[in-house]
Amino acid sequence: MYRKIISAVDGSFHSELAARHAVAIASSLDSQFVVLAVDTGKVESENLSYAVEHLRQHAGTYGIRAKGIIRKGDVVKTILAVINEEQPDLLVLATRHGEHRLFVSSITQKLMLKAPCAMLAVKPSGIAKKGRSMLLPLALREHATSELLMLTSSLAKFYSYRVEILHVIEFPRWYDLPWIDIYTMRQKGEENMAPVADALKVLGVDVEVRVVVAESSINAIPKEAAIGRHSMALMGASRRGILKEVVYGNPIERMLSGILCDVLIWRQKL
Amino acid sequence: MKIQALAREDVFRELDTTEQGLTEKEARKRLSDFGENIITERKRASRLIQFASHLADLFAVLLWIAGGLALLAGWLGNDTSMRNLAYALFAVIFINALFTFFQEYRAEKASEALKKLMPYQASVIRGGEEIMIPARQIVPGDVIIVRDGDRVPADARIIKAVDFAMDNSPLTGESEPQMRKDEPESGDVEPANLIYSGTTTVRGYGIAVVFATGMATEFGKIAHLTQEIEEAPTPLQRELTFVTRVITIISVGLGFIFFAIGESIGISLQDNFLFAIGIIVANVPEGLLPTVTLSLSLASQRMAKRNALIKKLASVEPLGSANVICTDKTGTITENRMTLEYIYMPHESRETSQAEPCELLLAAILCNNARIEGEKVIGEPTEAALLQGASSVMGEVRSEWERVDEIAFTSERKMMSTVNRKENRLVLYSKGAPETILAKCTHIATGEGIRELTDADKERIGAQVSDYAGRGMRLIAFAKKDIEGGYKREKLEENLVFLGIGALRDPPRKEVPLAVEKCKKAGIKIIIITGDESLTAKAVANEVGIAKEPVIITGRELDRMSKSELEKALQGDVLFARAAPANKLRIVRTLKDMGRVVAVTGDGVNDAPALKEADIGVAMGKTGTDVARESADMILLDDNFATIVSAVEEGRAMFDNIRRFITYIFSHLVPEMVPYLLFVLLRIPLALKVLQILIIDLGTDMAPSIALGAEKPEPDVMSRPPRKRGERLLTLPVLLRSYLFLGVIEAAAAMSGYYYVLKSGGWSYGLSLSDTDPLYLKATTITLAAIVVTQIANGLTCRTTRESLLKAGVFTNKYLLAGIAIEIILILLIVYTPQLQRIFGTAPLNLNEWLFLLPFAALLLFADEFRKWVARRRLRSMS
Repeated sequence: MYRKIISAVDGSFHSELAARHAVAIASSLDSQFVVLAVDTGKVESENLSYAVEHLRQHAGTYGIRAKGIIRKGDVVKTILAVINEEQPDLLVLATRHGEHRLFVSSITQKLMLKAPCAMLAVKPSGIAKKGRSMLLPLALREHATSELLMLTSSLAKFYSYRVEILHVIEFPRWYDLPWIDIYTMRQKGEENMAPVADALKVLGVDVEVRVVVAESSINAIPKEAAIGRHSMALMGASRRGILKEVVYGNPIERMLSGILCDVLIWRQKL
Repeated sequence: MKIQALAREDVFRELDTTEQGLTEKEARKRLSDFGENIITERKRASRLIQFASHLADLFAVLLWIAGGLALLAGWLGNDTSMRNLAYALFAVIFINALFTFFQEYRAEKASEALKKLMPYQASVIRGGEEIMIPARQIVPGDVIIVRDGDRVPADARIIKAVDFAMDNSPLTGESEPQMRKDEPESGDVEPANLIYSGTTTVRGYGIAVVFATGMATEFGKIAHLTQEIEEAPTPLQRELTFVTRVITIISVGLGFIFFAIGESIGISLQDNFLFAIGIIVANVPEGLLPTVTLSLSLASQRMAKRNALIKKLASVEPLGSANVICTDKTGTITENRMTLEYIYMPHESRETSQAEPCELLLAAILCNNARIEGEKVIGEPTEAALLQGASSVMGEVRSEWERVDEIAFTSERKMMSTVNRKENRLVLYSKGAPETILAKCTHIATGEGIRELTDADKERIGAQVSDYAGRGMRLIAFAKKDIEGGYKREKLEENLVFLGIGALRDPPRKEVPLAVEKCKKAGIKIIIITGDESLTAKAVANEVGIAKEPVIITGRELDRMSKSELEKALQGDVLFARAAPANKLRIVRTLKDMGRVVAVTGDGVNDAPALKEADIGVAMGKTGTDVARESADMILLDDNFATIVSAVEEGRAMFDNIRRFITYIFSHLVPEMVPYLLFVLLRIPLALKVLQILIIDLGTDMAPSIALGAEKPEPDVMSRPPRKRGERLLTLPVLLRSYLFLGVIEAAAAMSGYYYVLKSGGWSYGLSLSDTDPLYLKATTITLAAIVVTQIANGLTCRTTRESLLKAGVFTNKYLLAGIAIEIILILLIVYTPQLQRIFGTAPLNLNEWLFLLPFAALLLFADEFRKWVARRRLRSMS
């Protein structure tokens, strides 16, 4: 349960869009909401105050009383210091616009590695929501922790989305397999994901499971997001995975840049 | 909250803007945040790099090795001919790469098509003033104004609409203008308060707030879908990869084994190199890729003549394995031409063609805004059909009447009326939905004159309406009122006289029933997915023979169905009515999950996901949008369902033909390889030179193999069940027939000819022959000639797999006869012209030597005829 959520903004529209998702979660879970702006001297302080005030008002329209904080200093250090003071359960921030590398050498990546609370990095695509569904890619059933399910249901309910659980079974040259083998793999995948779907149904979410056999998830997830015309994709990440990406480079970035809807990358608390 | 559901003030708040628009400063900031409002193109590998990638295919790598070895051998032995051989091999690599490139080449124009739909300038309100700015500078939150004739620059939510109608056809394919509103909307239907970039205003004007620009717009997403998504290779491409791998393993394996044997028995390095090159060149079917590409290209030309345009050559063959066709109704199954088929005048129904001039038809002409210009009827389709049908009986009557007034049609009133004057007579004619018109009538016009409308009349009219509706007709009722003196507009449409009903429909195309029957025989299921009403769709499905009593599922019902329920429904006869493009995608996906090979038709941009997802996406050439055409694998130039069936037939024939020429090409690999094995194992002088192998593969055999690819579809091609998903092109029987049966006979011919010439020239085993010895040149020439002669017989026999050649007719494939003629001319030139003799190391053959080879050709023909006879018997006994 996220009792307190901090959303870090930098005056850009993208950070506001990320914060709106934080408001959505706070509204669904009845959480406390804190808007934090770090003044690094690069953005006029009036703009930062406006951004914080604007978001407080936005939260107010959903009945949330938000606290606003503006601090001077280095972005990462200041955010970590505020986390230490406020002890939030979730930190929400946007992956900065123009940052082609979403994790590596970015603020998001540093915070993903260091912030002790759960974290949600948002790559927004547009402003308004008009779609009807969100994608929840899951490689393993075990990844669907109760926390992720709660987060999914809070977003789905707020935006009235149907959730499509996407389970990609990676198989090289799958197209050479007899159809019956592919069918069986898919059936097993559906059975495997059924408990996750059931758990989401219990939370009051309209859910569907889609199992795809493909060469790699890196291509399959953007394809499904595009063909299914989803409005949002919520993906889990692990700290270990992020560390590995720092060392080996990150194919996930290629995938993220290929998804046109809002992408939310969630990491559980450390 | 979704943007379509928000109230006006909330729209401004959500998009953080005001009625005065954004300030210039805010707009600049958002431009840097969201980027320009443009459709970006994915940076894909340049054509040159795509072409270059084929230079590193497995076949190419093998040939690079062979060429490299030849260069090395040439350099070591200072041998010019080896160096020339190396250059020849490198040329082959380029030829093959070129053909593969063309086979996979596909003009990617989707984003160009979309770009054309984007306006250059747009009208926006910034800082309270209306200004024109380049459309690429529009940002989310901008307040835009679109007027009659304007293209919409970005996706936006309408906040003010004044008689605002859009042409959404580039996005949805709907030809009729769509009214737009400014009120909030909830629910699952497509919202009428949104406008999309690329669509055009046809009437009125609207003010809207932009919520998505560039790639985030609906058009952007479609562009992304068409250019980003990689598709799995087609079965043919997979088979070619498989063949390449098998051949690589064989060549490299044989190369290593015999190289080692050669080394151990003391063959010189030079000879051993020659051997390794020979084994590689003999095993690689150099002519295969050009033949595949040229045959596919010929097939696609044949299909184009039948109005099916293939986008990518490799898509020809998967068409043949389609076992489900999901098709639209309007324009594909039907003619997309509304026709006034029946008129009903109380209480008699008759065909329009047998009608006589009457007041109902006069009403149909006068209460109508369509007009006839020359041969064309211009106007809304229903009105145009009424005018055309009625005028065919009544002739030109409009000029006799003057239109005094009109009460326009609205969707709320569901009727329209006109007041018309002829001399001193003033008459109101009304038309509309039968229930609406009937409710306004107090009297009825019958053959005996006008009398009061009774309940019994209403009952009879109701029964007739049900009967027409059950046959999928669109019904328009007509009424009249004689006006005495002046009139009050609001009281005009009261106390009317019921004149009757016109029944219209879009008739099925004439070719469709036969095509449907063909599909049924061929084991192909047809599923209609239409936006039309259930009854209309069912009537058409019945009439053309698709299904008698199909289960009808509407789009809404489909949304509520579980996957297993849908799978179960798809097992039987099913029809989808009032379906949206998203429904089409779900149906296609479910069918694919069920293991079906699905062809699907589409015309709007919204259909692009389904077209992309299907095994074969079929776009409409006449009515379709450019985007749908770019997402598809095939375009129907005449939008006709029967054309899809013809294309399937060609696709099936293509699969058979590829098998034919693979058998043909693979057969000559054995006689090409045997001389090298004998050279190493038995130290027999090399009977066939590497260049001679190349001239067979890329010279003499090319024309006949392409001709085999042009073999006409067999009569039973559409009476067989569809090929199973995953059925191999290169099966064990195909391999055994070419390698161990036909190939062995050809090798026997080649080596017998070789031995015959050497023996008659006085050679005995153990004697070495120099490369320039006339006897040796003649001996290699007869090996080459033997392969060519037996390949002529092979070309004929490969035309059928089980059927007797005599029954199929020896001379029925004219292309093959021409191919054989080319083959004969080529071999004669190689054998008898001094220039070619020098290049290929040949010498003239005598008549007796040619005659020596002929029995082998006959043997091959008869042996294969015998095999076919056995195969037929086995098949009969099995069945």
